[in-house]
Formats: sequence, C-alpha cells, structure tokens
Amino acid sequence: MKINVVTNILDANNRIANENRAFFDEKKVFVINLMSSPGAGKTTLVEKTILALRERFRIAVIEGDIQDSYDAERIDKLNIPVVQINTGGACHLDGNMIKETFAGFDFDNLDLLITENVGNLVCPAEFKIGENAKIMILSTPEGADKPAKYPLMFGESSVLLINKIDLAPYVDFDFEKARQSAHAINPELKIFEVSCKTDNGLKQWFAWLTAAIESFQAGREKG
Amino acid sequence: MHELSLIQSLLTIIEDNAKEHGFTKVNRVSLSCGRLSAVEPAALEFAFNTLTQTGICAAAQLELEILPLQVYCYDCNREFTSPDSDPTICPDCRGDQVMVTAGLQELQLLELDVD
Repeated sequence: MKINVVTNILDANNRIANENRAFFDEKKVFVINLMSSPGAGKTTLVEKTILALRERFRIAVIEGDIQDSYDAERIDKLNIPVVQINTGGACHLDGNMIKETFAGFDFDNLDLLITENVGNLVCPAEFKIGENAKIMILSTPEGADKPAKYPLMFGESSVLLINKIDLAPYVDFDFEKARQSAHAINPELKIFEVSCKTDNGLKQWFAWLTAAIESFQAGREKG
Repeated sequence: MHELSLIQSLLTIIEDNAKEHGFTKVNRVSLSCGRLSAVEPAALEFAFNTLTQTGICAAAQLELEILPLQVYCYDCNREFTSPDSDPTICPDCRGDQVMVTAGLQELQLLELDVD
C-alpha cells in the first residue's frame, strides 16, 4: 500500500518554532537568530549591539554552544540577562531548545532577544526557532566564495554583515564577488560591511535593527 | 551533522502516520530535497540505517530524489538547470549575473510504501 504523505520533515520543529513566535509576539519581544561560522565575530557583535542599544531597548541573550559558557560569561559582564544553551554535540539550536530557556527570562520587561546560534554555516539555517529575522555574519578571512559554498544560510537570512573589513586588505577579500553571489541566492538580502574591532559601519546595522524593532512594536500595538 | 535530527523528525512523522493509517511495516520511504538544501545523502542514509535497526522501518529502503539547481541568467535572459552545484555562476556563459530560482527546497517526505 502506498500512502501519499507530503510532509516537510522539519514540520515538528516548525510547529514549535511557530508556538515560540506566537509567545514572543504576545510579549512584544523582537527575536533575532544570529548565525555564522565559528570565529566570525558573533559574540563581539552581540556585545557591541548591547552597548549601542541598551539605553533604548531592554535586551536579553541566549548563547548557543556545543559546550562551555565563555560566551555567556562575556554577556553576563554587561549585566544583561543571558541563558547558555549547551547543545552537547548538536550542531544547531532548534525550537525546543529555545522553548526550554523561557523560564530564565522576564519577557514582560524585554524588547529584544538576541539568540546566538552554534558556530556553523550549514545546519542552523534549517532550523527555525521562532525568530523575527535571521542575521548572518561572514568575516573577510573566510573568503568571498562562501555564498557559493553555503547557499542555504545566505538564502534564509534577512541581513548579512560582512565583518572584519579592517582585515580585508590583508586577506584579499573580494567585496563585489561576495555581494554579487549573495544576491544571486537571495536578492532581498540586506548587506552591511562592518568591523566590530574599529566600529566601522556598525551604525548602519544599529539603525536597521532599531527600525526593525520599532516597526515590529508599532505593528503589535495596532494588532 | 544535522542528518540525525532530520531522520529523528522523519521517524516521528512515520510513527504518527502508522497510528493514523494502521500499518506495521514500512517498505520504502520516498523523500525529496533541493540540490542546495544542505542535506548530505550518504549521511542521511547512514543516520536512517542507524536509527531504524529495530521498529517498523527496520526493513525499509530510503529513496531520496534531489531536485535540481536552477538559475536564471540575466545575460543569457533564460533559465538553466545547472549541472554543477555552484549557484552563483551561469552554467552556459559562466557569467555571475544570475539568480537562483530552484534548488533550496527543504527536505520533504513524499510517499510511504507500507504493509
């Protein structure tokens, strides 16, 4: 007997992610899912974003790592609520892991939840967690061929931050090629060139994020 | 790496279907995914074989159809099915003025052959 099922394999995860999203929406919390390869600068970007926007928004962070809590300790130093998820070998965060952190936050006093995914350019792209936007970082030493090699994450993301532009002259990073191929996969992708070391270009990212949160909050007020 | 998670999700879907349709043995599981979906067929098969040593899928064959990568080239003004896996180059003129039009589809369960 043949049974025609046609089901997305990640339906179970998508269901949980949608429940998370409904919960975040009700609490008027804007959620970003930050993804990149290991060492591209996710935690430094989170720190810089907190310092720039903490006067304006109430921020909390989920740190996803296979093991250890170095990143959570860095965020904790900034006096920002943070929960560390240790995936224990899993290469990505999923909807259920995020749900399990809910008890650790006061969502009634929160505007922005930053979720730092496990450093990995492949798997996190497939698993929704209930985010409003997927943000990815590509750092210049990784090379401009990454959109061609890891298309899914570039396809899924709303924003691409090209980080470590201060190193670009030393690593021969081809900005035009990176932009061209990222837009071939995702014409809607918003691209910012930044350096988390020199703060170059970060203002545009802060402006984008501020506008995104404010537009989300305005929509929730009306809705 | 995430193929184990995918197969775990797949097995949950199959068990739900077994309850609904009352079957006890699966002969074949047909899946599809886009060329660029980041699913590695060999790892998927390994995960499937490992997680189905017992149970209703113990004798089941896994079938994976890979949906081709298609790119539209603005220089050639037409769509191509790309024979290679680079989504950023036109397979015909090798130019980079392209847009991916298919190949990113997520892994789907299409059909179960069961007893």
